[in-house]
Amino acid sequence: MSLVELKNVVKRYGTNTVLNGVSLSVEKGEIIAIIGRSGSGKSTMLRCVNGLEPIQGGTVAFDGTVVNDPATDLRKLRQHVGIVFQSFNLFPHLSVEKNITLAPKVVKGVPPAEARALAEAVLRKVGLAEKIDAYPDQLSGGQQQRVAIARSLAMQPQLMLFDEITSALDPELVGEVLKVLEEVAREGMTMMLVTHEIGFARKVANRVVFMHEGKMWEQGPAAETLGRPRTPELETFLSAVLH
Amino acid sequence: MTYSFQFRDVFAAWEFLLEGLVLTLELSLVTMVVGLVIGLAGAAARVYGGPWLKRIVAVYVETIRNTPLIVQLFLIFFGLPSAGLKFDANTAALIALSINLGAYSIEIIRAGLEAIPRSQIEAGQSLGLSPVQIYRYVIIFPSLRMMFPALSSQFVLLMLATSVVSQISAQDLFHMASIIQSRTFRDFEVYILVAAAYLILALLFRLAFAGIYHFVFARR
Amino acid sequence: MIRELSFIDVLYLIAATRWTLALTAIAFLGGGIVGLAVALLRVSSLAPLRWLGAIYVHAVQGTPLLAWLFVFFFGLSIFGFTVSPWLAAAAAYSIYAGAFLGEIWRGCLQAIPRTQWEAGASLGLGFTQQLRYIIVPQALRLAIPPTVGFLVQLIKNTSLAAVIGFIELTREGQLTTATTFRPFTVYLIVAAIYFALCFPLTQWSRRLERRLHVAR
Repeated sequence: MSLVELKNVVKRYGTNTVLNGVSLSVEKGEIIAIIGRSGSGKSTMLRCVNGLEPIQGGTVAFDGTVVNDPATDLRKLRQHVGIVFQSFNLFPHLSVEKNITLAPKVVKGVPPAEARALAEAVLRKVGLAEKIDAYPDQLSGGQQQRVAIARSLAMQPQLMLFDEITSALDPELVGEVLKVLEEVAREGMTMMLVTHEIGFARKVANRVVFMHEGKMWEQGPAAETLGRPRTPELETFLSAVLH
Repeated sequence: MTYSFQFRDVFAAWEFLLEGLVLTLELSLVTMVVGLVIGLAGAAARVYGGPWLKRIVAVYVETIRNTPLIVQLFLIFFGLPSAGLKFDANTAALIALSINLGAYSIEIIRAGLEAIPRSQIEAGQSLGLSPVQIYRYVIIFPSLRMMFPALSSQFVLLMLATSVVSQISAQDLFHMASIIQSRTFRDFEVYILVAAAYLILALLFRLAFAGIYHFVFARR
Repeated sequence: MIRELSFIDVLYLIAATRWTLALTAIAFLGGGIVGLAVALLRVSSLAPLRWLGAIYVHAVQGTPLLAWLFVFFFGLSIFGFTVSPWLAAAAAYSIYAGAFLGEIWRGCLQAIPRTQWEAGASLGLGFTQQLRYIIVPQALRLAIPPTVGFLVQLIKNTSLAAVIGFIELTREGQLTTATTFRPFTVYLIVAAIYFALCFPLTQWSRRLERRLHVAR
């Protein structure tokens, strides 16, 4: 059984169809890069996986649980699916430590001392151990995003979603965040990442998915798909972003 | 004990209510016009005036905004006669309400004026407009548009606050309620009915303001 | 019986101010509880609850406070309750303050970006947990200046309780006027006392507001 299974997913905002029958399955341990123009539905698809976006047709399943079933306990599901956003979305009123330990403490009931140790551990992973007592507004964009990744990791998810996490960063800060991503990938985390960094996708992803007009237009092994696009749409897209 | 509601006697006195309603409406509308004029002039003085003018307007605004309307009303109606200034209830009501609304309007409009970018004024100056012309043609309209929502809810609050004038026996809607009450002894029904009348008035005022906004401001 | 206005009268006025403050405190407490409920209704994910909140706010903000005072003072007695001015005033002011505080606080809750809710939800926090740990602490900072500002409105509006015979500053002023026939001086003193209470709060609210803007 695949870890993530999307079948004919349809998502509309009013009369505007954003996802028009998207099917995709993701195996445990896979790293999927999702590329495409803005407005192609790639972020929306990602947000359907943890139930942030209600869908109008088809099914989304995670680890055998149907996400779009009203009876599904989304809170429970989201403990296993981490997401990192383009705009970081750290909690500005909480220190880095509290940002990271809030959910483990409140949702999982981890005792405070243990939670602090957990925060230290995940911060080491993203190379920010010394920032544990800082507040988000004291950090650079790249550092904030690394804290956001650490916050997600602290829940020990089975799957991590990354929604254009370098798009809001100054160019010189992109590298440090991608490095952390690579680190997470090396540990065998299942990852779905929406990205504009084609080079990074080629290097890290097992598989690349090209979204176009609300459809899964083309997919395949990263090097092959990016090297020899089969559809003219992907070819046009690649030549536009690479030049 | 069960209470049986009896609106018949209360409705029978509808002429009183109508008369009171007319005065409430008159007081509200006149006050709004005067309050707006005070607001426009005062805000201009507060923002563009000399230091003394600014200070005087600030003292006026702060004094009014930090004391209750009913005390202002009592001071004018009961207090001023000892200084030789005697008004009938309606005039005293109108003065107190206008002074009160004027202060709030100044604060609101001032915020709108301060939001107008300096470059707009400079553009007016470089076209050779006088300060008054700049205020009249360049500044008032956009700042009123910006502050219209705040101003109109202040006006609705003012309309409701006119009920206070019943306490100096001005014959407004609320005062008529106490007259009917003393005739019919139907306290509860009277005040429920009057509350409903104010509610409808408030709705109508909001509708009217939305209409004004649509026709005056939204199109440009 | 007419007597001279003396220093004692001024002291009585100042002493009566404690009832103004007591009523303000009760109104703030009662209104705070109602207001919290209203604000939560207004941001609820269930539409009927949101409507309920909206109807409440519009009904209260569309009727004069005086009407509520009279309805409670005269109205409840016909149902066999003996209503003291205290009880009527407490009820009327709680209802009134609840609507305004509810609106202020709703605005503050809604000023927190939707992405903060989303970030909480994505970590597995439930609605109340998101509210408690993420939204309310941030909204609280925004809420303090306008809440202090409303407190000024409340202090001033407690003067209306005088009309149902509740003895506070304004009522004491009326009583003093009746015996001394010095309305101008008496109401001037009354106004000055209100000013002394309200002006510092107004200034404080403004300072808080400015600090908030700088912080952003």
